[in-house]
Amino acid sequence: MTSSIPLINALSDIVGKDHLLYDAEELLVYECDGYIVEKKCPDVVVFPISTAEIVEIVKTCNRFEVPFVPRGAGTSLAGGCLPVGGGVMIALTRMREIHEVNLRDGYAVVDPGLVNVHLTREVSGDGFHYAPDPSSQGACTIGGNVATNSGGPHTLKYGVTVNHVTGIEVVLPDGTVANWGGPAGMPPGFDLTGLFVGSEGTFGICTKATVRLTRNPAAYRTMLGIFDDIQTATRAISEIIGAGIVPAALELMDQGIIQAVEAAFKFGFPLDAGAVVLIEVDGLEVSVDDEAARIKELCHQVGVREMRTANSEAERLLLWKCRKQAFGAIGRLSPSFCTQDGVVPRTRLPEILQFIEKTSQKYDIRIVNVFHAGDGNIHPILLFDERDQAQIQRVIEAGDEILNKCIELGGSVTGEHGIGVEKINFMPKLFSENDLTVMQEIREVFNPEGNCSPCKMLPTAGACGMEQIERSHPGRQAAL
Amino acid sequence: MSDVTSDPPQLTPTCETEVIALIKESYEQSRAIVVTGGGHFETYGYPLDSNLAKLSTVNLNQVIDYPSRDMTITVEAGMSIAALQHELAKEGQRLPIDVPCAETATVGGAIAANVFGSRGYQLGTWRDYLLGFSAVDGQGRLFKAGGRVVKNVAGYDLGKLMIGSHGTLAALTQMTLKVKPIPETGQFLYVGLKESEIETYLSSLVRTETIPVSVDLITPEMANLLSIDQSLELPIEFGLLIGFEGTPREVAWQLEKIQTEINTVGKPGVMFAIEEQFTDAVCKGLSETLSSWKSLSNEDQVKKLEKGHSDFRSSTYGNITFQASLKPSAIEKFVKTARTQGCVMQSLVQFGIVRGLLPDMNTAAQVIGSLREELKKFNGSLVVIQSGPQWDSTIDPFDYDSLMLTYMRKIKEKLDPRNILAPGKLFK
Repeated sequence: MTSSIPLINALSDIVGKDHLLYDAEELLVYECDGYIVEKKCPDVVVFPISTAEIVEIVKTCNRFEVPFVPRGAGTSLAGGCLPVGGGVMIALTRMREIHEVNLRDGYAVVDPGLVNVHLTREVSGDGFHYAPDPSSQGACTIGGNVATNSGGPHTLKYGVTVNHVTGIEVVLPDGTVANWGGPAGMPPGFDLTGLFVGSEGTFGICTKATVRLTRNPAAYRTMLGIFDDIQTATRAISEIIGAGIVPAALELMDQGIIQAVEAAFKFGFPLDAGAVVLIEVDGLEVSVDDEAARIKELCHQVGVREMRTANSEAERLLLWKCRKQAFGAIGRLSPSFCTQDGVVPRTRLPEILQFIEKTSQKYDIRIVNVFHAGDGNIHPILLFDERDQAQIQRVIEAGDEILNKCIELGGSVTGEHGIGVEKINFMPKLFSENDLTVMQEIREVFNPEGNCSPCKMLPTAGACGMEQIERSHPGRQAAL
Repeated sequence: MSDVTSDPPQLTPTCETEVIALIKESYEQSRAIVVTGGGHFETYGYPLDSNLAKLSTVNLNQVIDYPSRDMTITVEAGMSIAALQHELAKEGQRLPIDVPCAETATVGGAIAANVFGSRGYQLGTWRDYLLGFSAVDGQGRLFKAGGRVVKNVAGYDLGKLMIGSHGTLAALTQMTLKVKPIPETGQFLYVGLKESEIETYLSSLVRTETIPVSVDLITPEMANLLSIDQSLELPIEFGLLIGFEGTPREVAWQLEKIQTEINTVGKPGVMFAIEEQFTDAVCKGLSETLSSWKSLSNEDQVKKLEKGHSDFRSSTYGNITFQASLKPSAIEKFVKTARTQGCVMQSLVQFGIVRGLLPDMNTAAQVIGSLREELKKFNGSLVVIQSGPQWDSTIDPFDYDSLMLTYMRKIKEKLDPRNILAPGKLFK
């Protein structure tokens, strides 16, 4: 599809001429999200300010028979907002209002374009926060989090996005506005809010979200376990989880990542360590020391080299900065990198990490690891030079082999990034034909014409427009 | 597989393959069936044709996989909640969802009915614990969604559709659940209060330094029922039951702390920590009293009530229970109104849920209408969760939003196109 003057005029009438883009150079910014392997420019990008404008945009797209796709900050990592087949991209970044904060009843109603961390900042003075905290929380939007059911380091204890969204307003692909769920108890009917979260924009466009606000813990203890090798570190993680301890966060960084973040942030990580594990417990002041002591004991039992504890809030925040901005530091290791997002049962972590090491050797591709160890959610990062076509091919094959191993170990190919366009080919490996047919049928309930976020998640969605995607090659990706 | 040739027929498959065959046969013959577990929610929703064949999952009751160190378990749908908890307890783990009548309630049934209790807000409900499932839809298609790992966003989260769909979309056959360690101890604090003080105390709890796993408000009439059913001897007044779990040190610290906090808010009535040995009775009572009451005959109810508080209406108790949803801050006003209409109530206050028993079958339609009017003021809603044999067909068990109803119908048409799974149970 190429943009037509009547379509542009119609969209301009809705959002105003200052709030749409159709110039080829300006559209380049929107050709991909954090997954840059596949690219396609939309024909038009519109920036609505209200639900009413989105309704009109959707109806206009339907009238002109062009596909449309919502986009938040574009930090997603699986091509979820790639405009397959071109069409209209509905960028939600102007809709960033906090409509209501109700601390008494423990919720907030927010726009989809609100940056995740801005909500926490709004309520932190009152001792509350919004619990899902993806590492990209300084940029990603709540609407994007709803679409991908985002996780983050602290979701180990507090749950992912769906556990904190109690209601949504959505514009369905036919332009209908639906309100499901809300702040009050448990309204009658199916849990369409829960179904919608994680549907990657294929059921419609989230235009408001009612989210839970969580009290800040009274106390934290943030520790750093320093291990000689990654196998010992993963054994420690298995011991902690196996002992029934659920810390607030349990994050592993291997030697490659340690070197990169140390160069970037000068925290004082030992550069010769095989791995470090960032462990945070939170809760009552009366209990965090006991829990921290149990964790330290388990780490010592498996042979931790050293356990450190953050002695101040500043030190704790610096540790978290190192973790959350680890991806930003990877540029020090390699000109390009490709991040994977697999999940294995937590006790299989040592196995998958050994496999990743062997895969690294087999394909002669350096792989570093920083991940949510407590959830078994791995993020092997494959380092390469995108100017070398041979390396690119090896990166693709190595990544596929790792994800296939995750499936073999009883896991999944995505814990938080989503399927998008990147992992469509893995869906038949995870799901049977019946499973995929049922999912396709549920999509048809909301999106019968398939014009909203086409060609995402399900291979049964067809290959409409896929031939128009520019297959580039793995390159630098945004932080997860 | 065995067919019991009584009326209505009872189908009791022993494996997934038999479930598929039975539903496929029903589909081909366009013959309606009802999927049942423990049978505790048979009177939920609109009344069904009493001659419908029942497909019971109770013989699908095996543990499929229990990697306890991963803190997940995969079981068949017909396993009882008690059997599940027994299995988990061997490894020091549990599923922290309060399901009444755990000996007979099944895992699949509890998911299908979305049963949960007081600890749900802090510890989660089925939507927080169901990681993956297999089910057979109304065409006899076996399908699954989710997986067996604790974090997974591959594919649509169809588990959310199964929860609370009461077997109208598919028959659950297997599920993988996240589990948690059993806490070392648990204890309740009882706080007596006046009706006019409810919101003062509830709002103060929002900022407590403690972390209660449950906060229940009980009306004096409910305190009476709870006392009778569980021999707890609670004061017959408005009461807050605040639950804590953890190590003995954590629980002791929190019990002390919250009493201090409550004393700074106002002058509560009697306040005491319920002795540890009664913790199970309180949990059981809070989850079961309203539902077990339903199973008593009127004569039994009257006898029990006569032993209770003199103010309690003991004439013609019906057996309709309801669940109202509203913002927690509106609970005081709603409870006050509902009590004047003779309702016996318990509130899961953190959720904004009030569950109650209606006073009289004869006035049920009028009272429900009146409660729904009251709830409109708070953007709330009301569902009838148990109805009686003398069902008044003028009472609508649900007050769906019209668009919700439209999409519920569309979803059912996809999974159950011949409308054979509990037809008419959730909508006509």
